[in-house]
Amino acid sequence: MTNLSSAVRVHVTLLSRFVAHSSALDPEGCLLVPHGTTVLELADLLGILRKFVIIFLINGRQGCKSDILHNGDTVVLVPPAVGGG
Amino acid sequence: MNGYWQKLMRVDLNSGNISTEPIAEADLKRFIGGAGLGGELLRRELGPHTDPYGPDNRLIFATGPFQGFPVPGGGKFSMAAISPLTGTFADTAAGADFGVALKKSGVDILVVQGVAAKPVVLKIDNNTVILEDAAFCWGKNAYESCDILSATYGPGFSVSTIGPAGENRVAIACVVVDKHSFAGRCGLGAVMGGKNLKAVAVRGTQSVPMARPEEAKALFRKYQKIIADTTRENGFREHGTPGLCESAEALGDMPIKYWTGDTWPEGAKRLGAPNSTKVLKARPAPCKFCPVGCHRHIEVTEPAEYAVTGAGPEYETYGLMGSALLIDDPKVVAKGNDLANRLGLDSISAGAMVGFCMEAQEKGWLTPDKTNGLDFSWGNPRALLDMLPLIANRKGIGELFANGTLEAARKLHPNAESIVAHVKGLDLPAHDPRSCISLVPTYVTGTRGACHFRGGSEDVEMGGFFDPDLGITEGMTKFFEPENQSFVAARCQDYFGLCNSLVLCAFMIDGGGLPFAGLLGMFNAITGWDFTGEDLIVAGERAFVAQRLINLRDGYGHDRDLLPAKLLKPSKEGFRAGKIPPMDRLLSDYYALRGWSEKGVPTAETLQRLGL
Repeated sequence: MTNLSSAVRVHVTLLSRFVAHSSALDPEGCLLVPHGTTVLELADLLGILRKFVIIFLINGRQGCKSDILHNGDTVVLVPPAVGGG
Repeated sequence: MNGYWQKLMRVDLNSGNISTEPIAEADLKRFIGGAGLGGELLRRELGPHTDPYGPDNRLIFATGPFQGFPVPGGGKFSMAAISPLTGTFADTAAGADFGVALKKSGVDILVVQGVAAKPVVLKIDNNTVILEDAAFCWGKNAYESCDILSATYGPGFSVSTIGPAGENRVAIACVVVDKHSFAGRCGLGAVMGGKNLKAVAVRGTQSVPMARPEEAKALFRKYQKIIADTTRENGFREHGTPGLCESAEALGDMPIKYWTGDTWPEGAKRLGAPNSTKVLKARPAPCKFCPVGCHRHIEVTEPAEYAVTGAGPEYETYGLMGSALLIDDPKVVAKGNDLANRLGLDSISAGAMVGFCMEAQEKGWLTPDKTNGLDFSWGNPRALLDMLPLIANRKGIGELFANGTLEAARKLHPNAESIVAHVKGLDLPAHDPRSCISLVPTYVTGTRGACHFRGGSEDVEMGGFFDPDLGITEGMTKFFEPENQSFVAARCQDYFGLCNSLVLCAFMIDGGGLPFAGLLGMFNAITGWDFTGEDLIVAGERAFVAQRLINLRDGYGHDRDLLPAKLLKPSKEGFRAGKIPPMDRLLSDYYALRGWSEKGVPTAETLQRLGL
């Protein structure tokens, strides 16, 4: 169980097929994660394979895999684009 | 020769003469086949400014070395001609069974020239080739034509045919293949109609030789499994290209409100997968030898006005018939797609025409007296569904669009050209170069006009396509930053150009997980030529530059390597808010990488290196 005193609350939007991993999110689309969590670790918590976490947005901007999530951040996880044709 | 017959079949519709010619081994080694060899034939046989509807224009159906074998994604063929939409080189490709059937009939390349005195069907049954009166199917829509020809000729025939749009020489007419796949872009269906050629029906049962059969078959099995496993894991098989809708909207890639809108998340969610998979009961419908099945078979029964059973929409159609029009009902888009398929219209350009009308009405340029009572309000389904037959049959307002959106705009209003989203007259596909800026050089130098899939670089930017053997690695591009973008654009153009020369479905490499090393291995096992990777990539570059030379002699140079004006305005909100692509930097980087002059002309050194 996440220690609330050291947790941060992030809002997560899961697009397209990633929506199948939304069961861990609360009704507002949020998740409590430990302080210092990265997006890859967030993906682990959601059950999304790390190899599919390539493009994602943190607060509307392209994020880096080493970025630490902060309280109130909005994260959009984007499945790798295939099928542009 | 392994992988080829070294045979070009030439059909002269003026005289009715059908002949064969050998293809030089050197040409096959340099241009491989497909769009590569097709483009080179056009460059050699035609002069500048060839009339697309004149007898001199060649309509080429081309295979490569892969079509005789169960190569994953090898069930395709290319077409090439001078386009009535752009007035220059065009190629387009389709799947279904036709490419394999043509190859197994004993033909590598089919060249049709001249104009028949009355409508004909070309029937190829292995070594028996005849031209028949098309009276029994002329005037039928494309699906009816496929059915009639299949019933008439019996089992085993694959049919490439046109619908009313092609017969009426509408410049965005497509070629419909076995009611399953569509050679869509650039109006080559109109070229076919202009030649009075209703259909090509082919049956082939001959075995094509290959150099190292056991090695090749082991590779086919290996990569069939790898691609099948990859596309099950990454969702591509389950959802097909509609799986891209939400991602594309979130990243500012999806066209919204005919390229004037910036965000539309709820609409994209309704149109895209998984919602559209569920609503349309969509399931995979593979082409021959394909382990992916990206095409969708759909079943819609309610409401009756939108009922469709058959080929479903791709992402591109959800873009240009959906988000570009602010239509968010997948059933409406599916119906529009089905109508376009039967009429034989390119769904991308047809949707773009409706989007143009919606913006033109909003601006007051398209008034009720011009629209046959159609209301082109944003989001109106009837605007789409009622307009398509008018375009295909050149009735009412449809006649205005007979030669494409650009010409329609020029006739409609002095300012209307400024809102047309095109390059070289080809309507933009559903990828916004303001977000995926590698598309800037891809689009403006695109040899058939604005095309993402003569490159595919947007999928690098959006995280779906990497191959270290090509120098394309994860993280090498960042949105809106110019570093490496032009390299990615050029490298993707060469690689996709190679795929179009082999005639390999690009989804094997882009989404399917087929590595370049695997493609190279299959090629060498089939041909026995033992090319290096560099040999093949250079062949792709050679094909692209040969096509560029056709563009240049047709008047498409640096001064027309331009994005449409409306895409040079920054967005107000969303992922690409405030961003304008650094055009000058991207294009100068690109020309330098290519070994072209500052005016976009391949230098003498570059041409010598490529042997052109």
